[in-house]
Amino acid sequence: MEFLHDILQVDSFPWAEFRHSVALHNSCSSIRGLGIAKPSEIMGEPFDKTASLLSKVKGLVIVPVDRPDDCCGFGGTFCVTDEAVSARMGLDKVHDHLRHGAEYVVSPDMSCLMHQQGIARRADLDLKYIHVAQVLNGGPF
Amino acid sequence: MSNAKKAEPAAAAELFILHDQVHEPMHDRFLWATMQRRDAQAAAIPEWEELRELASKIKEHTLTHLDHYLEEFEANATKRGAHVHWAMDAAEHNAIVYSILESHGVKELIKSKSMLQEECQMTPFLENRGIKVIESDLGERIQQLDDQPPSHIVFPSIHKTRQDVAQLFARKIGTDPNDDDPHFLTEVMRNNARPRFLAAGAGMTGGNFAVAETGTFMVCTNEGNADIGASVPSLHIASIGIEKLVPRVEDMGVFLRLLARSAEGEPLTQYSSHFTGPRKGGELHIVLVDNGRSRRLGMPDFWHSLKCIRCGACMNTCPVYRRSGGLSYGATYSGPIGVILDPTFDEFKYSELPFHSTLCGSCSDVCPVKIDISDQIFKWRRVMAKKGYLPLVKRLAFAAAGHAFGHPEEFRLMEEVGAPALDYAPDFLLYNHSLNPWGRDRQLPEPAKQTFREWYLANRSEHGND
Repeated sequence: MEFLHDILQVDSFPWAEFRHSVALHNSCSSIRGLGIAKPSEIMGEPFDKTASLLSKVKGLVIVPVDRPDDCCGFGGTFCVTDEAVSARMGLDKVHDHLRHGAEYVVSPDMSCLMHQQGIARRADLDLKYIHVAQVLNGGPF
Repeated sequence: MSNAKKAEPAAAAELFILHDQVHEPMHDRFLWATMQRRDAQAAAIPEWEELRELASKIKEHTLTHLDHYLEEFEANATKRGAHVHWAMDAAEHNAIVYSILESHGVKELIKSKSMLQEECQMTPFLENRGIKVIESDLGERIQQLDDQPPSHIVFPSIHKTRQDVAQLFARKIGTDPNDDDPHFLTEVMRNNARPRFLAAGAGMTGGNFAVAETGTFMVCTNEGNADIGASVPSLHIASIGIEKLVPRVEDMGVFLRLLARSAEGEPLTQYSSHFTGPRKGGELHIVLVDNGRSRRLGMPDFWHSLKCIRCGACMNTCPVYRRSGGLSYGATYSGPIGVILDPTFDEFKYSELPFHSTLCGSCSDVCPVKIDISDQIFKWRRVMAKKGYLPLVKRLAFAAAGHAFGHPEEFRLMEEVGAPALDYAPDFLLYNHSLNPWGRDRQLPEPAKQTFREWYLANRSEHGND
């Protein structure tokens, strides 16, 4: 994201089109570790590099959610050593996305996607999970 | 290594979640709403981030000149007529308090909320010696009646519903178990507490801040209970951790703006009381307590935890704490700050705590004194691993993950062999609860037809191979 946004400063993705409602999930490590978006706890001008790139994709609508940067509970080995808490965090996240009418959840983090997708499938909830790169690249899906 | 039984936060948190469909969602929602109020309060102050930086610097300065400021505080408090005592550890703190109470013939005491007195296990110590101890903070009193420690450093009984409180009061005070109206319940407690204030021979408080230049200490509450406890009986004893020092009165202008906003999303606590010397005709004792703090000050990776002003914002923002409930940590301090404080008391007993975190980093960003909580949690994990405190399952899992991620060729081989194997593996193996905790509440991912690496090599790579 930083490479596209800060170095290449891509301002359009003419090859990409995505006519769907999307919930954006920036991972904790990308927000608070890499500074890809402003954490809600820190005061100051809001910014979100992933959202700004996605907003340049034709047709794509980002839906606002209640807890955009609350951790989804993957957490590496945490997802199995602290399974109950991890799963509850994931379920809350999935419901937040669903409640706001998202069809797709898009994230720059594969682990969050894998975890949330597993939760959504088990709960039989209709949400699709894809990586930001797939959207910006126009697939493959 | 201590002989204490290990706290098992993951297992205890699971019980909290599975207990019913009411408690965990309520706990999560309430604390999340508190965080949102905090965010709004912080956003209303343009210099919020500067205030945090300033508060952090003041605390760092004080902690690195602690001997000087402690002696200055002692001298000034003594000049104002207070008796200042020094306690090396919990046992000494309790013994000092007991000897003061005994010499004054006190049989019953009323106390306000103090995490330090909790840390010292003061109440059972005094009660074993025949002194009746009554908590006057509403949440703490609820916990005391239920024979439980506080589950949050600011909201002690936040894991309870008002129905729980109605049931508890019915059992302990004899009220209607079905009347869970908060006004009614508060009134019950008020009427129950009043005679206790009048009967008490001594009032005890903690101290949120201690000001070196004046010998003043401050107590911040919303209920005013600390003020009554310190004003009705003629004897007032305050327990204060040595890390509570600030150099000047004007520093309070920084900390008071941060404290209540961070703690509960309010501009100020209802009462922010300064105590400088005893009141007329009264007697004031201040017990300055170390209990491991000077040892912590000597720990290069962990001394910053002493900056903590006990606001609880890290607990409110912590996604793991919100789902776990504070009691599941099995320690005096819970939530992110507990994870980094508790092991300084007993590394073995609290060795699982640093793993009860996703390292999401929100705690470090919310902390009003900029403690690097999340980084310290990670550093504690290393300590626990080095000392051999990890259970076998974690040791094997970490070793396997480390090996796979450290050896790309083997990782790719696992992808090639593992992905097709998933198609043939029977569900009873894949979704076996003890073999595969992943599958308890989650489906396994369907392996992609093509990995990103395969796609990249076929479509983008200049050489067509590595």
